[in-house]
Amino acid sequence: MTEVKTLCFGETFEYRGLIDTAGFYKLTDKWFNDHGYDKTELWNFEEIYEDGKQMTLRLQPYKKISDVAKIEIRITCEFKRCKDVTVEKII
Amino acid sequence: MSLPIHPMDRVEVRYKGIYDFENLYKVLRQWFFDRKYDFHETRYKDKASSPFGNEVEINMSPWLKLDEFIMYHVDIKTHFWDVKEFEAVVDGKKKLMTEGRFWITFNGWVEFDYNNKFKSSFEKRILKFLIKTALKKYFELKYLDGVTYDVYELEALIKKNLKMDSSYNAYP
Repeated sequence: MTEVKTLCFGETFEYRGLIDTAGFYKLTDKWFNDHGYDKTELWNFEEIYEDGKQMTLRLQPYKKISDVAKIEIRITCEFKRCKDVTVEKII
Repeated sequence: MSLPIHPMDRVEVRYKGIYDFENLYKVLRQWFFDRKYDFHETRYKDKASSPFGNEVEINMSPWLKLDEFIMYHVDIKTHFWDVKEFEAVVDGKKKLMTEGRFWITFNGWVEFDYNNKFKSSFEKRILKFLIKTALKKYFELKYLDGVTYDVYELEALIKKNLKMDSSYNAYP
């Protein structure tokens, strides 16, 4: 049996408002790649309902720090009732 | 017996909405054709199960012989529900689109010694020791990572084809 040491558990946050979902995914994927994590994407669901789009992601990127130990981050994201809007970006 | 090694977890993509089934299938086949994979479609099932639409199941298990010792496998399982086809005008052209929901699972693995050259139990133990212990890093970097990132590249291509928001892939 492997020994699992949980360092932090159940850190959650909620947000309601404007969000660039494609940008969010790109940022997350790129961050893990830049920090030397290997990709593990278990779930990637996208469903379109009458009240908007729903997306569910489950990511488990990991980094092997030695021959016997690895760091793993488990992320579950849920986007609910997403509706496309066009906004103007002012720089 | 050969030695199979599964370097990655199963990746699952689910989608509900309108999609181009024909294009999706073409993209999958073309990707394997471009990478010189041998293609094997293990199941093609299409049944009119409910008034909401057909149920389609397609399983594929392409493989690529890298040399006389190592073979890549990519197992793809698809299940489509409530498949309803209709004609739509996309970019000024008439196209056959599909509405429904489906999941696709991808699983990549590597088969060592597929020709069964290591026959006796001693030889097999030597092979296992070499691959899993002595030359682990060499095989991991060269072959196991190769099939893993191949699968993620294919998954990103499918997501791009479905115009999903998560179609980006930072891992080349």
